[in-house]
Amino acid sequence: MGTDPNLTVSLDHDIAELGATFRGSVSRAPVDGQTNDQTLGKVRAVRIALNYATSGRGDVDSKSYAMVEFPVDEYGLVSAEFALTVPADSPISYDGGLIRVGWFIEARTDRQLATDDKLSIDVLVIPHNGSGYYDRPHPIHA
Amino acid sequence: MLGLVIAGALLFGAFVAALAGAVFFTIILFLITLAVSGFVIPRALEARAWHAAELHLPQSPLSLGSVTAAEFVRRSKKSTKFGHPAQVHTQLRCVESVTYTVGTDTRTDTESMFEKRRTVDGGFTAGTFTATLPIQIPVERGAPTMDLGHNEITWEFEIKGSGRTLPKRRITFTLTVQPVLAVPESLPQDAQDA
Repeated sequence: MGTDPNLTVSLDHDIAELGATFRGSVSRAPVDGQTNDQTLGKVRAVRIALNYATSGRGDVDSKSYAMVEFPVDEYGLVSAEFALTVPADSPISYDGGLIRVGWFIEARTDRQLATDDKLSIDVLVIPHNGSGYYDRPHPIHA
Repeated sequence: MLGLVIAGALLFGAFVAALAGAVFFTIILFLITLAVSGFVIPRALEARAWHAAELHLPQSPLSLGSVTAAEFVRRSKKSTKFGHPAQVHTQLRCVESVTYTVGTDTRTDTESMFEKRRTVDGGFTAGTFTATLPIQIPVERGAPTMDLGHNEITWEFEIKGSGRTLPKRRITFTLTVQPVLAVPESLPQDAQDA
């Protein structure tokens, strides 16, 4: 799986409390004036999802939330805004002894008969009332 | 009661095996009997004299940084007058637990991320022991309760009686800590330093 050099994702904020929303925009530029049908591995859509995955000593637990899909035009162009809400009952970003929980927003370029490209941006999910207190995963050691 | 029946049956089996001359089998059955008895007998004796332990929390679930006082209650089944002073030892722990696969084996590792021990005085009133136990959830160690499948975080509150009257057996209560930060401005400094 590679990266799509024409795909750009930007976020308003990269920190959100549980139950809050990550907002941002996604854009995909056309390839040198070619129509999408002329491009090798025709782009069908761009998908954005909010995910978490554990790392550390234990086997990986992961989950994907709130996927949104944007169809592309005839030149493979996308320009859209998105909002992904963090479920209130999901885990927070955590950096412990045996367990780490990392959150990321992943954009995938869905290609026909070709491997999808992806772009991943790390984000921070913090406890309720944690705004202004956290600038890294829980716990913040003194 | 069932445990005592099992222990009795095991002891009878060991006796029969000894009569039959099966030395190895006798030793194995005798050791199993000892282990079962060691587990069952203290609980059986405790259940004859005491009702189940109770822990009353003014708020549940708890939050990160919350400071509260739980009431521990142990009611005696006997009408004995208790004049002896009594204390309980408490231990609050946050434990990470992970499972992972090595080949065809599934292994589990645990690590304590936070521990706080206290000794608290209590008192008897009409055969009931009560103690007010402080519980302080730190902001800067441990984490909210979670169970993701292979990765789990739990909070345990362990209580053990001290003195001549209270049972000595450790009792463990599981606490739930939600992913909510107690309002930062209201957090006492020692809650953050705990």
